[in-house]
Amino acid sequence: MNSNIKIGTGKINFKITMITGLTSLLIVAGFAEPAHKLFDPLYFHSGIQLHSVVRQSMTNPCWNFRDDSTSTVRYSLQAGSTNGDFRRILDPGQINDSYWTASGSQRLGERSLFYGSFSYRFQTAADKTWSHNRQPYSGLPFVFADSSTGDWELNGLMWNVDISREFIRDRVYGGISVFYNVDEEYQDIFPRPKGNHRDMYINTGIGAVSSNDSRLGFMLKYFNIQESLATSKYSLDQEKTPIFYKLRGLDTPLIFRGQTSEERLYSIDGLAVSIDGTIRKFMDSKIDFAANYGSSTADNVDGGAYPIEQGSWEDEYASYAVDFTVFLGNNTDIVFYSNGLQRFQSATHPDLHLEIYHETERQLSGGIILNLGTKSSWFLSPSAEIMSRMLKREDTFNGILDYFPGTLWKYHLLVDTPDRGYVDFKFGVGFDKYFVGNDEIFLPNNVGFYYQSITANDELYYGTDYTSFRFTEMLSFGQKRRYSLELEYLRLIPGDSQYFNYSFREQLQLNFIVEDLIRFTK
Amino acid sequence: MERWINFSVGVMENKILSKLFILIFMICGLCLFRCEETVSPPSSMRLNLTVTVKDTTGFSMENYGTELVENATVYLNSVSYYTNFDTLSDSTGTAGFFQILPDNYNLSVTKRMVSNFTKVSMNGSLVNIEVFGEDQNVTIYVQPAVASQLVISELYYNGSPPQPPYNIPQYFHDQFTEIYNNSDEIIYLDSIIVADLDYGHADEDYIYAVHANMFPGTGKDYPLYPGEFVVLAQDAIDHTIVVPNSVNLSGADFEYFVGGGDVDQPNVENMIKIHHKYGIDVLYSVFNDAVVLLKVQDPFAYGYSQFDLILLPKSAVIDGIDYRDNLAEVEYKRLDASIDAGLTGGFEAYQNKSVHRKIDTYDEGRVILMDNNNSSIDFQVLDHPTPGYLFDE
Repeated sequence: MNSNIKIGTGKINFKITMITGLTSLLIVAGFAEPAHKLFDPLYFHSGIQLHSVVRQSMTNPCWNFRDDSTSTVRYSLQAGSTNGDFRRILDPGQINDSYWTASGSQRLGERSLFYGSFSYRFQTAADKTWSHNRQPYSGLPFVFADSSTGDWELNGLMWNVDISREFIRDRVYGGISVFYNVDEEYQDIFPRPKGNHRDMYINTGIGAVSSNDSRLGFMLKYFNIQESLATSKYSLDQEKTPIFYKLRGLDTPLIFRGQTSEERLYSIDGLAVSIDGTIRKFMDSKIDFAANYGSSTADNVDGGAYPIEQGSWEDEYASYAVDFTVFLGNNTDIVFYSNGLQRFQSATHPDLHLEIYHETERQLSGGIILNLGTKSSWFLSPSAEIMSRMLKREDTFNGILDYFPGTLWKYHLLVDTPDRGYVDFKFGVGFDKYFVGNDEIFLPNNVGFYYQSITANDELYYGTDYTSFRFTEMLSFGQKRRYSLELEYLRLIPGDSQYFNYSFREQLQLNFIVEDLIRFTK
Repeated sequence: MERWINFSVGVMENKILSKLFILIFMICGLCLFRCEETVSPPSSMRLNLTVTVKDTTGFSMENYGTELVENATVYLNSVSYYTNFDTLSDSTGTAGFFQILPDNYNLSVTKRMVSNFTKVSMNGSLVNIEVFGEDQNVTIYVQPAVASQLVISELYYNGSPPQPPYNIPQYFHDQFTEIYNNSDEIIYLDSIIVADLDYGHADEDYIYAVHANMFPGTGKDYPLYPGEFVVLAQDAIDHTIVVPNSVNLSGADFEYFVGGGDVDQPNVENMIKIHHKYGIDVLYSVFNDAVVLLKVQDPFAYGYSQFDLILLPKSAVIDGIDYRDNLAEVEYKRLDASIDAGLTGGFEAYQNKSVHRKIDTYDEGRVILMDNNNSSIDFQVLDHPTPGYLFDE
């Protein structure tokens, strides 16, 4: 970029260059996986939400060596609880999740860094209606269920290994990351369905850094998600016979009475590519960007000796994120950011071999963060964001269409107190307001019991405005051995709806981390 | 605060001001791309089914001058989705079902009429009609059937769930059959046979019975007066002793007795065993079965199938009831439309539920039970059996 160009002095060539450049970036980047974790495929598919300790699959592993070449040993407990009735009807009433994690990183020679983590997970999901699937709202419309509402308990183990390497000193880096999860969950009441999950993510990335510390990275990600659901022959509850539902979209599930055992297998295979980078010294500013495109397919069969196809599913998503940081000096900068996501899903009927379901999800947001530093080392970061989003579900088999646009305004203030070396404390408060736009619901005349008892309730949920309050806190102390306590609290309060009033939904997340840290010197 | 003001002023004076304006403009521009779109009613795979109801037996032609049956109630149920619809045929004998899902469907038709002072039901059924790809037209043929004088008013086949103190997991000894005189004349039960049938015998002339038992008597020993009924128990004892929510059948009029270890209540008249293929008692299936009343001169005259089922003439059937736990499985019906064009039940085993014939009307204080020869519309499900009395909604 020619630094002699005078910004804002009427030299149209700069504006054209600027606008063209950023527009091109957005087009090239498409819709991508952003730095703000706009879209987490791991969570989307598996429901696993690990915050501060496990790196998972979001970031390009090639940068680990350059960004955090630190030898550490960490132990953490992450515990979270979500409850309240402002929820979709197949979501559990209450979810308590805890992860016990040991992780660490270690330099391997001069140019490699090893990182690994191992976690034990325990989850209870209370008041879960019907669905045996871990994520009944993933957009996969073929959900297996029975007529019971009960509590589930999950035990799981997961590990993560990253190796990153510097190929050319201060210039070229590469890395590979593997994440693996196995867990088992079961319902405590008749007919006692059981679920087993196996999730695997493999990321490989490569990146280059310029002399001014700008960087560009590429990442290729493969993931395979497997879910096996089984209800075995009942022997203790002979007075009862289960009613199984094979859900296929927004209405008219298949109903099976008197079956003594059922098995359902899901397998999702996906590939994703990403590009990420940083452009520094761009008119005294910095641009961070990320873009992601992914595609996956799901097979879905009834198990047993002769598996029967139960429908297939395709998922395609793209997302982007751009952060534009303008440095104003004196530890102060302004970040303008935008991110977006578009996702298409379609499902094919197992017998008719026709597409019977489409789901489209779209989000686009823009925001501004003002990072204000002071001489006394206080740091204030007020921010504001507007997000436009849309969910469209089209069940072409039943002839039902749901369309829910909406706008979310987010305001947040982060306060970072002066770091006294031994104790660090920061906290944030936030306020969000969500407004539903002109939603549309199209129905045939003769909808069935499933629509009336499930889908119609979900439509009330999606069509409800809400207000949310957020509070975050992080306290850490210690020097060689660092103790951190992180807290996140979120409370959603639904606004007035012409249909229905929920009371609230709240989430509390608590992380406790013990970290032994040794910093290498290059 | 003053520092910030000074700072801001200083910054705003330099080139960054212009840069900020450009960036704000761009971010605002991005925000203008809202995610909303225009949507229209969705495409749908739903289809239409047109049903023409015809009577080629000559009955309708004789009474109405046409083979097309008007005002017949047409029932449609989906095999896969458990959905049920009904509508009336119009003056051209046509009934339409609109916007139904692609699936296999079962159809049944019933029309009630009076001909020559006799109540007649026109019944017909079709199973597994494929409605896929495009709208369909089908013709269903009906035939007349005269309403029975002696009817099964209640059938309790379901069994009881386990209950303290004994928690017996599958208690079915409390089954009973209630038989009602729906006519205005005395009917003698002597030699009337109660039988339950096997599935899967496509025979126009005979039914294939697993168990068949006959009322005792020589001709006029057991009169049943108009509006009265008898209770036929599997075991005529008080079942509430072992399962408190069950029924007390110690006052039953008759009971099955197959010999061996079967309960034999001395105060209750035993049925005469005609045929008993298996079991230590006469057990109706708690899931699906068909029970009929019939009368023949010699029940042993028609022979046996190779699978040890006794054959009885279909023409001798007085009344019948076909039941299943899954009402969508019409293709597994055991009785044809001339006896029972429908299916009753639709609940799980061991729930303490019974099926009870609905009250149709009253004739000078006497209850007339509904009898269209279609158990789908003639029967209702009761949450608890009512042996010895009629259930009035």
